[in-house]
Amino acid sequence: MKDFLLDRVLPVAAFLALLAALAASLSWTDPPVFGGTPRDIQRIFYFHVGSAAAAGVGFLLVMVFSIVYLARRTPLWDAAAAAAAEVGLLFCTLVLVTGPIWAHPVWGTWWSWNEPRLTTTLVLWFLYAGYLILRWALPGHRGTMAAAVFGIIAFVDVPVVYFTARARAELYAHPVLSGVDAEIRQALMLSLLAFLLLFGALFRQRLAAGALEKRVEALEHEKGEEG
Amino acid sequence: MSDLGYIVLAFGLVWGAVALYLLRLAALRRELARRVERLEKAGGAR
Repeated sequence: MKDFLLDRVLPVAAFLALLAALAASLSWTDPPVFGGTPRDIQRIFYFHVGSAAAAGVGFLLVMVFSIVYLARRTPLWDAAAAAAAEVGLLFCTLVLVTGPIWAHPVWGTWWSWNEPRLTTTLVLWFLYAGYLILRWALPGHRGTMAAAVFGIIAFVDVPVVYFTARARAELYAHPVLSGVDAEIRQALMLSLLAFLLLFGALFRQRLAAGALEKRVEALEHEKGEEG
Repeated sequence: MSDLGYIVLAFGLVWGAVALYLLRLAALRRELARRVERLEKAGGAR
């Protein structure tokens, strides 16, 4: 029953929620106001913020699973941390892609190194790309232990990105929810829900692949010992 | 490019990236399941 819910119901729920979020963000609300002018380009932020929330949840899970792995040394927690990092990195990539697409028509440039949120998000991307490279470069027990420690330390950048975004809220006209009207808030909440469900569905799929990877490792280890 | 063009570009990239990732995951799971089956058969044969 649990597997049926996670493997069948969750992806369908995520897909339906994404369709609803797409409809809400494109047609439900009036163009959000930016700098006193309604701009359709602001509709990107429903997907941008949803992706950012999913990436944040992914990186939080990496930290939590890494702590549990260090405490219990059970391979499944290590596989869960790796799955959360990979899916989190996918969403972080989407944040870094949709951000500049918003910035170009609004700021007149794709990227600004003077913008701390862009820079801290890019640092975040490199940290978790580094985490995955570390796992790939150092296989075995040493690699999983090093990755667990790295996964805990890397999370420090997540609150830095969040508080940088809040500190510069006037630039984006969206992160402070109390400052936007009810319709926009509802569409944003729907997008957040849709992206979190999508994260859950992708995480579940990646974790299933991770469990198979651990099984292959164990069987190859057994085969090596017998040979 | 108009605002709509930027929106289509952003949405296309988001959906495209998610679809590609799902396809990659499905291929990876198929390949791993095949390897598990092969290794289990080899283990059983011994």
